[in-house]
Amino acid sequence: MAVSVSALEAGQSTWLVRRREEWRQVGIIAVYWALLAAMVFVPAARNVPMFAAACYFSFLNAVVIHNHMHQGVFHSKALNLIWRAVLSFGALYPASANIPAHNLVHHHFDDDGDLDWAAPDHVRFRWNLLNLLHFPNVAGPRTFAGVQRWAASSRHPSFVRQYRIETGFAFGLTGLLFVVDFWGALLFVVLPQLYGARCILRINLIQHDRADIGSEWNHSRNFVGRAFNWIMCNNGYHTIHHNRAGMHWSELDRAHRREVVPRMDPRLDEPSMVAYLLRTYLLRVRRPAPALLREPGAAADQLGSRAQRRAAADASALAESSLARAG
Amino acid sequence: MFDSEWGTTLIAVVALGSFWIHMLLIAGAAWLDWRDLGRLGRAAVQTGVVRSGRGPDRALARNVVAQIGRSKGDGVIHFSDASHRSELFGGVVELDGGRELELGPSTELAVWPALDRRRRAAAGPESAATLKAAQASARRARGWARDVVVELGPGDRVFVAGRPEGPGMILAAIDPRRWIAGKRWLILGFVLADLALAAACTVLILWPPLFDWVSMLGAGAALGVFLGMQPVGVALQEAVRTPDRAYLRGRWSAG
Repeated sequence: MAVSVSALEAGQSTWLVRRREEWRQVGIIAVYWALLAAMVFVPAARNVPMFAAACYFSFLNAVVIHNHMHQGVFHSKALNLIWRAVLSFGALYPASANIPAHNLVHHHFDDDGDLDWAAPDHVRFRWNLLNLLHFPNVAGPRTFAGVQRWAASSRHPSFVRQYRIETGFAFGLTGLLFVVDFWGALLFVVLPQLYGARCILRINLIQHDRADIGSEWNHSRNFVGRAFNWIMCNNGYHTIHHNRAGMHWSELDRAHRREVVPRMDPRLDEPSMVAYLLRTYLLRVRRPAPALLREPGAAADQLGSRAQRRAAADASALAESSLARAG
Repeated sequence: MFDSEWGTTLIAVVALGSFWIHMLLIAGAAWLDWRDLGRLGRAAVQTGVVRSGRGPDRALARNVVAQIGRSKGDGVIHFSDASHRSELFGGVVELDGGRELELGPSTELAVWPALDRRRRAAAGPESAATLKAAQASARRARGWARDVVVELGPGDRVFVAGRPEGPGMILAAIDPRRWIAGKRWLILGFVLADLALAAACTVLILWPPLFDWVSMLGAGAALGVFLGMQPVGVALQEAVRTPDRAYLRGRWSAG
């Protein structure tokens, strides 16, 4: 919680956004919308490079959803709600689904009695590439069914309303585009939307498969390339993100080096995601066997326990939702 | 490849290819369940009646679903399954031929309860006071924990599949061969429906002239089938989980 408050304080001097780094996220979404708009309205823009760029930025849109649902981009509560709807259109799913699916269930793995809806074990083909391809077909429906169950027992007062608004905006605008131009909407809007939404689900497999979710420091795989993390808004640093979910994304690289590197098995730091994907899913057929991961340990561990940090992260996630609600 | 018309055609071809890849993957995942159930169904089955058990209340074995109940304070508790476990306490089963089968304690087996009996065991609450007491805990973040237990005890008819006390042994209150056969037919139906729907959509999509209204109808149907078959595939995966691991979930309400 303290991290979240300091983040808010740090952002007081910036106009509109809580931190100046947020402009990078705003820029990513602006580029994504520009790509979609160009392909819808300018026939000459309907080509493979533009399509590929839209797919990539759709994935980044899902990364921005993830960050925004941990810590809102804007000072204004109303703007944060509107931003959620904008992001929901980009991914064709309501951004608020991340609160139960990611912040409250995935971050807990299966520690507190609900199996992770996006656990790597949900796929089990022997040819590992098929697991990567198939994973969203399983994790997606499990996530949305789980969100429905969570909403039924949640005391979060505005969740269902906000979820419906985002769903209505995302599907309403997409439906409108279908009416205007069916093929344009299907091929140049819906396909990129689905690509991004499905890739962010695959990230769960990529970051956790064959890691040890029972471990304090070896539960996640990190991708530590600098350029990769610039465009991915530091989403390559996954261990520290799990352990300190309330920490702003712009601080994750330093915290990773300070807190995670001395304590984790070094094999879970991957210099390049592309190299990892090639090595794991294309250049080998079988799924790798679980490795015996070591926790070298730091001299004096001054961090709070997993339960303490988890409670702080939950408080942060719910505070974020409350900020949005009050607007 | 980089101009508009070729770009559109190429992306449409990639989309159709991707549609087929995922429809085949969904069918393939179901086939894995079909194959595994087939292996399970090959085990020899012996039937008999439990004569004695060394567990609590003379139980021979039990299946336990650990659940967490959560509520927003509206008089309803929603349960999610945290874990499923099977325990054999040891005891004697009198087989139909008259021979006695002595079983030792083990947790390396699957105890299949009768699912209607498990549903009854989970039903509740017995009284408004029970619901009120449970709800107080269920409103907290940690939730209200309970175990739903179904025991196999003296007088119960059981099916013993596989080598007694060996790995993979099943001790069931229902006929595992019949259950497995039914589920395999369900999977087969799903796989055929999945492929038939994909084929039908493809025929429509490729109906000449391309990109005209029939083609459009096919593409719309393909999008619906692609999005719809994923939750159906997951629902099937859950429906064919063996009874020892079948999801229970459920809810309690004042009404």
